[in-house]
Amino acid sequence: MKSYIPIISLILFIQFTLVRCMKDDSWTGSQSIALANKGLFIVNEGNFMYGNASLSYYDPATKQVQLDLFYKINGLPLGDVAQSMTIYKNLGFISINNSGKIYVIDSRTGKYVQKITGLVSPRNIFFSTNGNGYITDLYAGKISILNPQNFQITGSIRTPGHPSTEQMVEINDRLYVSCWSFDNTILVIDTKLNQVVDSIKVGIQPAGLALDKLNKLWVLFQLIIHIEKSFSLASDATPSRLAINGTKDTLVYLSSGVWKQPIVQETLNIKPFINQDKHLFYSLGVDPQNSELYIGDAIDYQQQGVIYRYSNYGAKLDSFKTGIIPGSFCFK
Amino acid sequence: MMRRSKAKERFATLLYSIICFILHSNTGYAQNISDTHQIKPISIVTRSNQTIYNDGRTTAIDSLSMIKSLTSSLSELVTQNTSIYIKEYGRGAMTTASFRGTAPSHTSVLWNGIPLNSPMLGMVDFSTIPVYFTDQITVEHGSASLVDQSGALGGLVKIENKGDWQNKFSGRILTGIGSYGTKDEFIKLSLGNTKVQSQTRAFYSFSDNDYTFKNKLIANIDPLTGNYIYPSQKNLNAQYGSKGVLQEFYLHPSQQSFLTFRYWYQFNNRSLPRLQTNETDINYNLNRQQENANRFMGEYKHYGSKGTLTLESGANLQHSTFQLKNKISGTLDQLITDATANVESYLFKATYEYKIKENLNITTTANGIFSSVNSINSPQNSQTEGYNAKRQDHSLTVQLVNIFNENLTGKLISRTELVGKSFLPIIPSAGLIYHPLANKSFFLNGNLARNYHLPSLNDLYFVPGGNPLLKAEEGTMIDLGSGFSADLNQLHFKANITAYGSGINNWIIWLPTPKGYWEPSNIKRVNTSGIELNSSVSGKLNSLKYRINGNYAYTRSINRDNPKTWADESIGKQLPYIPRNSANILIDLSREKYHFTWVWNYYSSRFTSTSNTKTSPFDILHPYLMNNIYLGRGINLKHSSLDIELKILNLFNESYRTVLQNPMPGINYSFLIRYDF
Repeated sequence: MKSYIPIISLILFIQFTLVRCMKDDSWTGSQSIALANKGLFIVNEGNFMYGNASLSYYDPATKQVQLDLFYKINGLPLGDVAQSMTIYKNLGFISINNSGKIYVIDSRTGKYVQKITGLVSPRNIFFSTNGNGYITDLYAGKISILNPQNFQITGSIRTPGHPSTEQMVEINDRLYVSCWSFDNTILVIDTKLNQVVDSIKVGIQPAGLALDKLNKLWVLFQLIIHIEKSFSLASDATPSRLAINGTKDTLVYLSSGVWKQPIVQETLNIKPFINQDKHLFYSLGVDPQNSELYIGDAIDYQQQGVIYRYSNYGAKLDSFKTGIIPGSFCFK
Repeated sequence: MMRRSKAKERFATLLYSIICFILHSNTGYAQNISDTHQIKPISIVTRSNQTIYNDGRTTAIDSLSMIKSLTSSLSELVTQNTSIYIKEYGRGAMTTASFRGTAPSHTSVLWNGIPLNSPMLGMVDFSTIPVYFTDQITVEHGSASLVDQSGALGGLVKIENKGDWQNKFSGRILTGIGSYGTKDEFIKLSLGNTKVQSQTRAFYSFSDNDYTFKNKLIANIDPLTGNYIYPSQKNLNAQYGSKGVLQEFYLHPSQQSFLTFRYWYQFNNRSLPRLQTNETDINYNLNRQQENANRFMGEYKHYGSKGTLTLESGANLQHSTFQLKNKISGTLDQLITDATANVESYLFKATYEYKIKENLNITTTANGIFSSVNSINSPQNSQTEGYNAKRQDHSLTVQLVNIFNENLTGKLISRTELVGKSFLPIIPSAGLIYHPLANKSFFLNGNLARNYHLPSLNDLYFVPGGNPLLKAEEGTMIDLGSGFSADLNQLHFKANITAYGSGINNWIIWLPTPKGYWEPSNIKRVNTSGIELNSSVSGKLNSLKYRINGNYAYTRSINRDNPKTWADESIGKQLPYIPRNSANILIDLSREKYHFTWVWNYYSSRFTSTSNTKTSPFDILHPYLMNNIYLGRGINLKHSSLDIELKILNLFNESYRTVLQNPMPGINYSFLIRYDF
């Protein structure tokens, strides 16, 4: 028996020193973080299938940034591929594309108050003047209608032949919806009837919609068009994001750099407003109050991205780190 | 007549020495499970160059560990017995290997000389290779793989099947049941004589894989208290199943020649579970991945008086499908992704090993691989896209092994490779082994080599995003090592240590683009370096047989690219998902009819971002510590034996993940009965 002692001792030593050492089940986070009244949320997509999406908040007055806000306040991860955020009556609706849900937070505190589930792959939510929320979806083939008072899905609008719906703009009682993934269509929805009443063929994969001060709808794909005119971009251009400034008279878009295009200008600019250089510009936001530009740089898509803040005239005002793949902005 | 008789004598001596080597190698040493089952010596031939030049960079997984893992996949066996890091995307899900800090495509797998790496993806899913269908597994670290193949910048896993010329009729039946509706069935029949042998194996494995777990990544708010309620969930849509058959024929038409034919068919069918944060309806995101694989190979081997000729030919034909769909009430099922791929590889290989002088061997290998891929992807709106691509890869390898004196042996490899119509630069490798002691129980070795890894056909031609301008990844690698073995009374001790370093240029990486899809490019330079340590001790204390085997690896895999901008913090940092430290210990004890095995496995924390930041819990995976035990009893019958075994996996019921957002099961069991006759 004595001869077994070394082996038994070895086993016991290793067992007692190493058992139950994994710390993979500990999730914490219930911090109270003060959010400035004026500022912007940055929705960081995170990596597809990693579930590491996050939310940041930036105060332009103090240049302070809060990272990973949702987790720090609520002790939960945001999910897999956070797509967009919309504020409606002090509530922030964050669409989490590959988690099939929309988190609802108090936009003043960041506190999680509700979630909307049962969706397939939500992309954007738009609140109509009729009081309904309309939720587009990458795969559902329908637009869900939300009652924001009780957070219930009250109905849906089928979009036959168009499984993927993306961005929305409202003009009077018409909701214009871009069909992005492998599609080339803008659907027109009557918000009184909640039905598709018309469709407009545009170019392949319309990447952005914007409404100018003349109530003209602009669509970005390989061309920039609105109903009356179109501008052809360079054949090798890769346009990806479209926004409009605070006074709604100048378009801003990404295409290997940041470009500006006054709505009344008859020709395209030949030089970008901001060169991309070695940056990887991925997202674009324009402050509706002062038209300052916020540009998200994803760097290599696998580390914290950077936000560059420019004045309306192109002067660099600030830059700061955010989460992985900054994908969209939501101004409070 | 005299000359022929001398030739025969030399051949007999060669064959005898080969058999002696095999019988005295580790494989033969550790083949007892208690006293109930003796595995017959199964090898007859091996390469004399490998016998002469054994520098400790080739590790054989012993047959005891293989029997313990019979119902497992290759991934579990490799995790428990080598320093290779296995990245598992969930129980039964895809599993990739990272060897010496490199990418999954840099680990090659050969089945009896046939490459199993998909020419389409470049890598091997280790979860689809059943241990049932293997007899011998060896791991070639780093440039040690150049003897067999180029492109394995991390290393090579060789799977081989062997016939048993002493066999007349024997077999094995194994049946097992386990947690989560897991079933395993296996049968092997061997029949033959000293001229012809046939081995037939078949298996069937299935698991509902529906374990429960507390999901702390989602929560509902209690309307009364405001507290979180974390749901208990089942791992839904995670079923997996496989079935397959392996037929082998071994022929021995003359004293000097051997003929081998093998056919392996396998069908894999599985679903990928959803992430923990997913809160879609259960009818959404339904997926199914299926694969049919047919593999053939034939080999002719002839032992001449001064050389050995080997002719090999084989094929690896794979057909795979992947579907992702949503079931939406009131409409037809909506198919989101419908992808099909036909992937074919054909191999032709001729090797001649020639003894120029008593102390100088040369091996020349001509190799041709013909690969083709037909990939069709039908995304939304019934649009179809895909590609057809072919590639021919011819190579000529010359290997010289020279015994300079009793203490010093050297090896030189030169490989010329023609890919399509372009020659790769010469792939060279040079190494030395020095035995300072007379009994050769201790050695020092060193090796310097260059290696090239070709882009996969998906890298080059995938639609959308493939980049036909990609260059081959180029690695320069150095190894320095030492080994020691000793026998003291009834104790056998063995240890190897290797330090390595390599620089890999043109590292291929896929990244998203503003075009809306991903594209590969040669953007990175990665330096890898580290230490690998393997040691084992075995022996007998009274009637207790014991064997302890341990592996440890320290791995640095550092991004040495130029920073993209001032904000790029990835330079000088460890690549994501590569652990700095990994280790495993296997302790096996047997006494009379009882046997007990304990396996412990460890990976240090792994970063999930290139910048190695720790700003959130999602930037890091906590250290992985796993304990599994096996308890069994053997029963000797008249002409057969029975072994019953209980496996307890995740002994301490740890909650853990091996990738972000995929929960792994807690403590689980399987019960096996093995009957050998």
